[in-house]
Amino acid sequence: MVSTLTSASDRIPTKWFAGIGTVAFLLATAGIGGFADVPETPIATVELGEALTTQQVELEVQDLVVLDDIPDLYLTVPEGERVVGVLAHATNVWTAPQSTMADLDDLLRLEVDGISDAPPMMIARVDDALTNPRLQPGLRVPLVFVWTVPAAAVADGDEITVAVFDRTRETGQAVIDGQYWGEPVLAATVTAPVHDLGTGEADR
Amino acid sequence: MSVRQWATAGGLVLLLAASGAIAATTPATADWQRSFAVAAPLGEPAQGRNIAGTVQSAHLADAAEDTRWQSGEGSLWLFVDASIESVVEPATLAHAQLQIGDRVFSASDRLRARTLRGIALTPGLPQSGTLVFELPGDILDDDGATRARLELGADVDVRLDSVLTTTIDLTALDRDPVTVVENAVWGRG
Repeated sequence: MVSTLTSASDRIPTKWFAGIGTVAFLLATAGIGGFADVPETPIATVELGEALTTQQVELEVQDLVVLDDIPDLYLTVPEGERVVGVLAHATNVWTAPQSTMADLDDLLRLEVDGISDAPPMMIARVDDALTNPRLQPGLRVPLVFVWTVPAAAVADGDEITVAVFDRTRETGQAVIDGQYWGEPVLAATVTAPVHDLGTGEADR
Repeated sequence: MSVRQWATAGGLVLLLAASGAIAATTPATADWQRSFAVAAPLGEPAQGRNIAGTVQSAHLADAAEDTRWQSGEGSLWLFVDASIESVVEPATLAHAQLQIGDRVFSASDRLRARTLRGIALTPGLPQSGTLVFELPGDILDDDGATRARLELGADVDVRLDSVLTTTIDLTALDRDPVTVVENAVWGRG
């Protein structure tokens, strides 16, 4: 038996082995569908006021505004820039409190040239003007997400796209202790016209 | 097989069994980092390593306010009156949370009044005041509402440290239309 196998393998040139192995690997890959196109996860498009649920929050983007300043929030607006605010209702759907600036800083991004990677400079409650509020489970909270943009970048009526990101709760392994929110993944986009509120003083 | 081979095989089996037993009985992270719960039933004094005091009473209201702030409607508010001090060194009441079923709530950050949330604690000099929790309006329907668990700890990180724990039946509490929250004060309230 052993001698039969040995003599059989002796007759196959050693150089063929790599080729035979490669063909077998490719056949196996094709057999399990390894060459099929990976299906792309469609990115949901939601409307203003429409609820969308991530693993962190249920979110309804209400309105997009641009204004000179929001005095109640004591922002530092650089010279020549204006404030873009995304008004949204958020309900914490996780089982524990979430800090807006620590846990939800990657929830939204503005698809505006130059700041599409920038986290909001501030997240605040619209009703209390409380900055960096904590969201308690199951409570619906009116929030404003704030960025500053060059004044010329956004005008009244411009369509702006807000990207909404989802994060998965991960449990730390080895050197990481406890649980944390994982890498943000694009979940949906909201595109809507922005409303120019002028100086922002009228809101006071 | 020779005696020697039997001994080797037996030794191997013993080692495998021992490692299996150790793996099966090793405490999980949640176990060996657990806080030390000190029961603090309503109205009774309790003392842990660096936190002591009395959780005096609890009640509900449909709205909360203080001199500079008013809540909106829709939430249910829980007010816990307590008198808390540290024991061995200055600390802050950084851990104040309420577990209802599988959900955890932390003391509300919305009030402008000086509540007990995050208040400075000094050995021997209690702070008396209120802890305020904003809860969903339908929280009393939660299965855990009859045995909500209040945890008070003198550090953000309460692993391996004492926490005063108070079990509260939310469904049995008095409910007011609105509660005005007063600033916390030094001394026993």
